[in-house]
Amino acid sequence: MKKRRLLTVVLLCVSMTLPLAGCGKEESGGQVTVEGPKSEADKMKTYDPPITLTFAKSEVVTNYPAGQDAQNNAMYQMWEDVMGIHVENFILSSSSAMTEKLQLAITSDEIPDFAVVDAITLDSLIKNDMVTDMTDIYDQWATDNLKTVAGQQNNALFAPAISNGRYMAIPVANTVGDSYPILWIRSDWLEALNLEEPKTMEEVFDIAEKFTLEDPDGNGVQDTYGLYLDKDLNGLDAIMAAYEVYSKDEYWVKQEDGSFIAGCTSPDAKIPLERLAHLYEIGGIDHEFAVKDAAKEEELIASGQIGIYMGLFFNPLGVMKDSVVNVGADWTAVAVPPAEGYGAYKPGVNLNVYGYIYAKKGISNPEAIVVMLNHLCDGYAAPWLSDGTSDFYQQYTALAADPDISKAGPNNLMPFQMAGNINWAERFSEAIANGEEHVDGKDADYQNVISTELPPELSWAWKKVYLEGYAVMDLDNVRYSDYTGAPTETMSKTQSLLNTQKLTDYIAIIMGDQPIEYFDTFVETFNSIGGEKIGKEIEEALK
Amino acid sequence: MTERRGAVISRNTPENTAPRKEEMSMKKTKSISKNPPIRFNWQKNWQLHLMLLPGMLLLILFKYVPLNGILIAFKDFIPRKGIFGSPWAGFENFEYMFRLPDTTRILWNTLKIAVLKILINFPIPILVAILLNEVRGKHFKKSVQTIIYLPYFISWVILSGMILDIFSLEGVVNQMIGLFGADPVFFMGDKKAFVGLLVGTDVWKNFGYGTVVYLAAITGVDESLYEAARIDGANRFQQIIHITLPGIAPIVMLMMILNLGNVLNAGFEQIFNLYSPRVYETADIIDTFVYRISLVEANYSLGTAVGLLKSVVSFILIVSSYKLANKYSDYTIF
Amino acid sequence: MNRKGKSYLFRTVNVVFLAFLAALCLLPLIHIAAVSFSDQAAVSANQVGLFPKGFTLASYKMVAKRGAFWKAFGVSVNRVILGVAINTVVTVLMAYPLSKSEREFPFRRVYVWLLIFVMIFDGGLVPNYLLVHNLKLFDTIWALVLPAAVPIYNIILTMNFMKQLPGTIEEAAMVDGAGYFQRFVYLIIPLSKPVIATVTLFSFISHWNSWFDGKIYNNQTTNYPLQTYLQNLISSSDMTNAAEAIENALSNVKTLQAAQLVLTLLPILLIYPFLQKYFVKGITVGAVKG
Repeated sequence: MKKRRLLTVVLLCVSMTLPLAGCGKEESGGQVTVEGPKSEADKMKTYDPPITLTFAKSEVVTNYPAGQDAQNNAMYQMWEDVMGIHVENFILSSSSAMTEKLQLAITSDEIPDFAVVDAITLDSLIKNDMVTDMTDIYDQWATDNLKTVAGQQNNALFAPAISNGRYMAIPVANTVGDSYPILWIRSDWLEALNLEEPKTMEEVFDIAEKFTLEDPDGNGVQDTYGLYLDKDLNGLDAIMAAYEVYSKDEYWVKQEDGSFIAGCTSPDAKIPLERLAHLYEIGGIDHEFAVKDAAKEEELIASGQIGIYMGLFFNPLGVMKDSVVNVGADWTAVAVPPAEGYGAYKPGVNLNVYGYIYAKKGISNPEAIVVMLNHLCDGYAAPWLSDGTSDFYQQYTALAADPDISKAGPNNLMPFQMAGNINWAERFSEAIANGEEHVDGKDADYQNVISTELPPELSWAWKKVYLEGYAVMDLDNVRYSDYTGAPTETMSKTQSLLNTQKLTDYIAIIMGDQPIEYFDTFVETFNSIGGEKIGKEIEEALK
Repeated sequence: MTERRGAVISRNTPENTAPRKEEMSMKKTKSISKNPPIRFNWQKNWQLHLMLLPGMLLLILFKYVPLNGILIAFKDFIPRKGIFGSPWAGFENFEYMFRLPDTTRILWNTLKIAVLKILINFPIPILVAILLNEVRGKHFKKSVQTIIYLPYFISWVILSGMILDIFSLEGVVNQMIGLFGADPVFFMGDKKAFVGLLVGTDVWKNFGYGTVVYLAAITGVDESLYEAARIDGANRFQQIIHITLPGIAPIVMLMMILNLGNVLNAGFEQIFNLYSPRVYETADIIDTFVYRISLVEANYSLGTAVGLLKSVVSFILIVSSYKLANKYSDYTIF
Repeated sequence: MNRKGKSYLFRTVNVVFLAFLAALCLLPLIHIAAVSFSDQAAVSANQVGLFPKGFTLASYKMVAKRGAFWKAFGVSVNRVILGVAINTVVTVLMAYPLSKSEREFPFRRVYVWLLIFVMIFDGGLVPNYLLVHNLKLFDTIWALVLPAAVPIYNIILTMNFMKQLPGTIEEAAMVDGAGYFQRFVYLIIPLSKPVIATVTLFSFISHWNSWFDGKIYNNQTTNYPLQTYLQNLISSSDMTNAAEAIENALSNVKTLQAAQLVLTLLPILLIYPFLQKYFVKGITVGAVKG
């Protein structure tokens, strides 16, 4: 009896304190009406008196100039001077932790006034009705320059932000060059075996085989691999695209009859898969690739054992430069060639955004978000569109010249950044030829490229990155997935299963555990798990 | 004679002195009024309750209050509305979980891996603690004690790279296997060998931890018992069997029961850092599976439902093993 | 072989076996330490064995020379001191009453099951986050110390240990008129040194190593404890400017992780031997038995 009494007392205490951990806030901000801009110049106005907006800042800078920190620094001050907007870091977190922190902030209903979030977090925000409808505000307040950058490829970047036909956030564009695939190949091996750079994907495979069997490093041992591949099949999608197969995860391709299929189930995939299986058989791919993640597999690049790497423009700064140190390697960038009989190479890329910028529902100046983007566009992201006349541009350039700020990274000191599409290789080469000391818009990197004080392998790397990597990109010729909107019902339930199925079966075929005909079985399984249903749901959603 | 000795010794373990005799007499006098002898007057217990108070307050606030989160498992959680405001979903989340195509396989994997780990992790720290206890050199003993504890601190992220090297097709282990003329084993990519790898590396990483606990328990065993045994002519080995082991038996049982509570936590960090699609069939566990699902969309309801299921199973196991242990041994575990 | 010979053989084999185990545990650590002192290009190609290749202190410099590192270190030290103190006090205070027999303390079962229940059932991330948020503990040291204030596993261990102490000790004191609290402080605690040392160690390690709560309960990176700070450092090395690039030239993710591990282990290597002296055989309990 006494025990039961004790228990009741305890439970009573518990229930009295329950509200502490259960309730979300009840009130929600209503929709605020916003007036349009009074004039074209108003779109780039300076708020007077200054307004304050809270923000979630991803901290990347590690060595601030003396006396400065993430909240109080020269860049934040400049934003306030130029735009009249005081940005307050309500959340300061590392970029890797930011998604989780924002998700949790949503549960406690205390999100910052604005932030740059990824598509999944945006989806949560929209579902929880926490963001302002930006459709009209964007339409009225965005400058033409901003509309060019944010609205590229026919407003493709907006897709994840659309809910009921309305824009609930604005994409913060990144350069598409960041995700454009590049074929990196050991130029010293090409020379040693007297080979030419490949012009078709078939030649790439041929070269890979020769790299494996003909001892390109001349040490008398067969210890070289033709092609890089890891357990997440990094680089495979770039090869597939040459055959017009878009095999990335969650990539949907519209067929001629209006239906949608997953890119990885396209029957043409059999051709490259078969060649990959053959390459694996002769030892051209590391036999343990299926259990090694990128960090592990890349060790073979650093030790100079891999000849071809399907990567991105900045790879020389990673393990490739280590191979220069370790074995005196040299790499060259080659434009990914098309496959024989197929059209010009068009890579499948993800939406090139830093994220999506939202305005919290109920704040009194949601148009300030667009004003910010306007300033940033002309001043930093795409200064060539306005010929460097904007206030922001001039102040930014002046600050970036300061050595302390330059050391910390001026673009990282800013609350956030945006980037337009421009081929830097052309710009940099031009600047070097003309002996220019600075390249506006990418000066920090330009300094690295022309620097004579860096260790040799870093110098090699920076030059490769900008002068060769970028040079083989064709930025206007890319394609996105035909569906990038919010996850459909079956997608939420089965997408991860589909991704796993594709990985497992592709790897099985490459490793020779299954014959190439197994691909048809794979397609069947894929569609029955959810692929077919999703295709139909997408069709519905896009009507 | 040994048997009689054994009987004498076990009856003299600390657990079985004065209080036990009292309990036996209590059973006979159960029907008599509840007035216990003055020494155990419950009026004095207020001191004990007081000692428990601060901890209980903290416990209630930080552990019991957040329990309302379990409700999320039964709701369609909409963060804005909070836990109590979100719409009720009954058992939908659980149904969803069980209808996923791979659920049976994953549950089976989780159980199998966890049980294997518990079984093999169990005897080794005991053995090592006993062996260490026999060492006479103080410095050697201390150093070994410290060193074997260290692997516990290395994260699986770092370990995965090393394990890959050691167990790769051309790694040290396969080289040794080759010396015996056998074919190399693809530890990381073979469905069966991978499970063995998981259990083995887990034991290596954790045995030092258990050893610490058991060593402390061994030092708690009454010295005089050993003296008595030595006088009776028992050798070292017999002393271990008849004094040390029974002496630490309560702690061993306790650790065993508590570990059973972990049975559905087959080791997310380890498996996540070591696995690959090639071994999903045998190594994919509940937690890794849920992790992959939540990469597509944040789904608190599913995660909570899974957590709740694991907790329920743990609780049932702990209660059952506790009752079993109580029935067949002389002492209450907790 | 005579008895002495057998004993000698046993001891030798024992020492060899234990030394082998120790080596098995030590070698990977030596490798990691070697990596932390190596040039990153060599580490990148997995060329480092048990000795550093291209010896450099670059990774340690990178980690330790920033002011933020020492701030985070300070937060961790605070957290450990406060947290371990609270944990130990709560542990012994709760373990003692629960170690009493059912007859002496009739409510003990209720308390024990209350503890066990909540050790197994957890509300999940969301309500814990909301609770700490609503109590306004974000960005304070209390968010790191209070939620973990009651270490149930440790309490059960200690409780069991105390239960095994002979009842005669306390009986003798009770005859002299000592109450619960006095017996607790003057008798039980000194006799429980081995287990208290053990749970103090566990508590220390738990607080020193934990990084997740530091991540979610702080909205400002300046309040991060050491492990959270180190986790972030590794995932946010910036490649885009010259000075950083030159600095980073000699270290990469792997060497940084290795340096991080070494730095983390150092305090433990210092504390553990210090606590070890309490693990040795305690006071001869038998002497009190008379």
